[in-house]
Amino acid sequence: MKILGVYNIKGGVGKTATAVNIAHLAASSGLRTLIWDLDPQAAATFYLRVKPKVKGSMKMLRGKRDLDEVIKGSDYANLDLLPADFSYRNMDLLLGDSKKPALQLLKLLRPLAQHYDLVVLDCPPSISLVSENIFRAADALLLPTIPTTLSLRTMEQLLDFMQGHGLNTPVYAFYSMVDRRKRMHLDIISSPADPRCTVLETTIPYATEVERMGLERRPVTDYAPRSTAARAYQALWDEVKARVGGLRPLSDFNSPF
Amino acid sequence: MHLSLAFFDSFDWRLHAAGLRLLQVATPQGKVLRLKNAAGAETVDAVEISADPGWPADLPDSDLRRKVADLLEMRVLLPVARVDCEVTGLGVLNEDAKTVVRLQMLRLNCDSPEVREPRTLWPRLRLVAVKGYEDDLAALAARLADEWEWPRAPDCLFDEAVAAVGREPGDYSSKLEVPLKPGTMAVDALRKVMRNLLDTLERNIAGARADLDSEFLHDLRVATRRTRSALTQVKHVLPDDVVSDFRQRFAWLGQVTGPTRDLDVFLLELPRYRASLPVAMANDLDILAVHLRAAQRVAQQKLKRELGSVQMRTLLDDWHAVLDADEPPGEPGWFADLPVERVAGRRIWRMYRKVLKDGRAVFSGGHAEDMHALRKDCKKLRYLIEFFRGLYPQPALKGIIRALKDLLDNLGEFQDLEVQADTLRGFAREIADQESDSLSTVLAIGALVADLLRRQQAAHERFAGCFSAFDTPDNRAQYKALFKSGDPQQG
Repeated sequence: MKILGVYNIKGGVGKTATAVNIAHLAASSGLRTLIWDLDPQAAATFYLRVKPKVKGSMKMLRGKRDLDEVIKGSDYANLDLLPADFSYRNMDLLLGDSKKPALQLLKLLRPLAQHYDLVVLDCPPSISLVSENIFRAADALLLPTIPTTLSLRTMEQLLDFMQGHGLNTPVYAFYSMVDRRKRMHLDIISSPADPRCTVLETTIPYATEVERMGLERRPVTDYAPRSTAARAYQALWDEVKARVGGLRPLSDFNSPF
Repeated sequence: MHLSLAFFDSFDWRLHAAGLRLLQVATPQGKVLRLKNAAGAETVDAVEISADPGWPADLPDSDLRRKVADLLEMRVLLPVARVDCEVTGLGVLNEDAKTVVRLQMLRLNCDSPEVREPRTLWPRLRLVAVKGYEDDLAALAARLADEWEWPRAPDCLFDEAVAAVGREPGDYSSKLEVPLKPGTMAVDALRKVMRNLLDTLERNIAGARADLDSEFLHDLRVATRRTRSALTQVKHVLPDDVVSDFRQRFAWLGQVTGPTRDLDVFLLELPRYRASLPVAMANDLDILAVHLRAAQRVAQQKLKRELGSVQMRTLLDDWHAVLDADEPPGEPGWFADLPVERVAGRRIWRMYRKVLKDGRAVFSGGHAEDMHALRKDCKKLRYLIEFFRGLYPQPALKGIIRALKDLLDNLGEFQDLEVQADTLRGFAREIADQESDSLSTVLAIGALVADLLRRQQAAHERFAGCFSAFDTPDNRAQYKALFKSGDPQQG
């Protein structure tokens, strides 16, 4: 089982859209995929038409209740969701209570390894104990970044934090919500980024199809699979899959026999 | 989504006999092999493959391969039934338009090499649970079953697919089992046994000609040998002319199939030969292996021609005519009209007495030739018992067959090892003549021959024990009770 964290300190960078579309592509390629909506805003949960409510969420986070019991199937084969819960806003306090606070998330995820090939964590913005947990649990971090000066600053903040905490989880940044008509976007994309992270080739364009996800309540890769945005997510997923490695589904996934 | 499913087993259903089904699922993305139990549950992890499975040894290294290879031994995997499956995905939605039950509509068409027209199986609706919405699935399933009275399909498609292509699990077995009733006329009973043997023989011809695996030819030869034995050992039942004619013609079939079988045996033994040599010498058999394979290919080509020849065709047709006619042509044998149990009992009893007498002679200091002759008689005795086993109570037969089999195994080992040693010497001579750099091969064969002869000696030393276990008062009493009176017991 591989764990992929989709993260940015800054909100509104296309993080949830990335998590949902990538998880959908992974699942339709045959990987048993779980997306964990860790953001109390519950956007991923909303996109997948699940009610944002986890019975006994506190118990679950304390490890007193199996994650498996609260997982919900999505509309797609192989794609399950661990829904968000409003109580997640207090997750820092909860994790802080445990013995090894920075490793609590990984401990919770471990029993799922036999059921899932891939777990995508849709992370809340900001840097906190929750984020540190995510950095430690993930095999790789996917960092959607808008090509603006402010976004680049938050990227550096993250990389400083990781360096400071001795974290060497690979960070794959990619440019998101790219508007090719904006000079600054193009300039930033073409200039070298912070060498402590890898910048992926794929860029995700700013597109109204992606915004429609809130109306459709489906991944754009499902309702507009041939759109520029969906193709970009496919390219992104291909790149991430190759970088992370070890993700190969059986050829006859979803077979009824 | 379109899937091709195919079930595989050996010709003699070894996987099925072990309660297993081997299923290949082919999608545009690739092929997967699954080994399931009769209830449809997977017993080991699935394995990805690139081509249809054939030899178990060629499958990717896995638990699945080990399990299948252990059961199949020298047999190859063949497709039993193929099913084309068209899957249409549907969903049951809740008030939020969220899928709570996934449905798969399956349209299934069955196809196999033996079937001319593809048959359509019953379509199926498969309910797939969505995690966290199990109650919705249960409600739907209950409604389909109770209100609409839709029958529940078995999880595994195997039985349905196999039936659709006109096969039946276990429809081939090399074991001879002919149900016979006491009181049947000997000529009818004997012909029934012979028809069974002819059926076995005929069913193995295609596989033997194509050399799918070595067991086709082996079973064909066993059926031939049994037929010859039935012709000569069950005397005065069929017309004499028929016996003398077909004795010769089946002897011909025995001869033309012999060379290939002999080479098959060596090829099957090769891994054991290698294992018996010191590691440093194991590769010295490579030239022998090449030599054997080349010789087998030549012999196989000849065999293929012989089995497809006019002589073969007329043998089978003429034999059918004898067995299928109301009465066999010619003057009936003296015993033709007797009840089969009298003929069978008398023949078995006589052959048993002969085996006892000759065996005791060998026991008290016999020679190798005597052991060979004893083996032949033991084999005749075993065949006779097998032809007519349907007449006798099975539990009683089981014990005497086991004792006889143990003795036969010992005698067989004694002879086979000698024949193998002799033949290997011949190969050594040929290789020495034909190959320039043959010294290490010849030396390795020498080591093999020494090992075989040592084992033969050991078999000789074990003979006394094996024969004593056969010649017990208990076993003698069993034979007497079963066969001497000529009136078989019911049971």
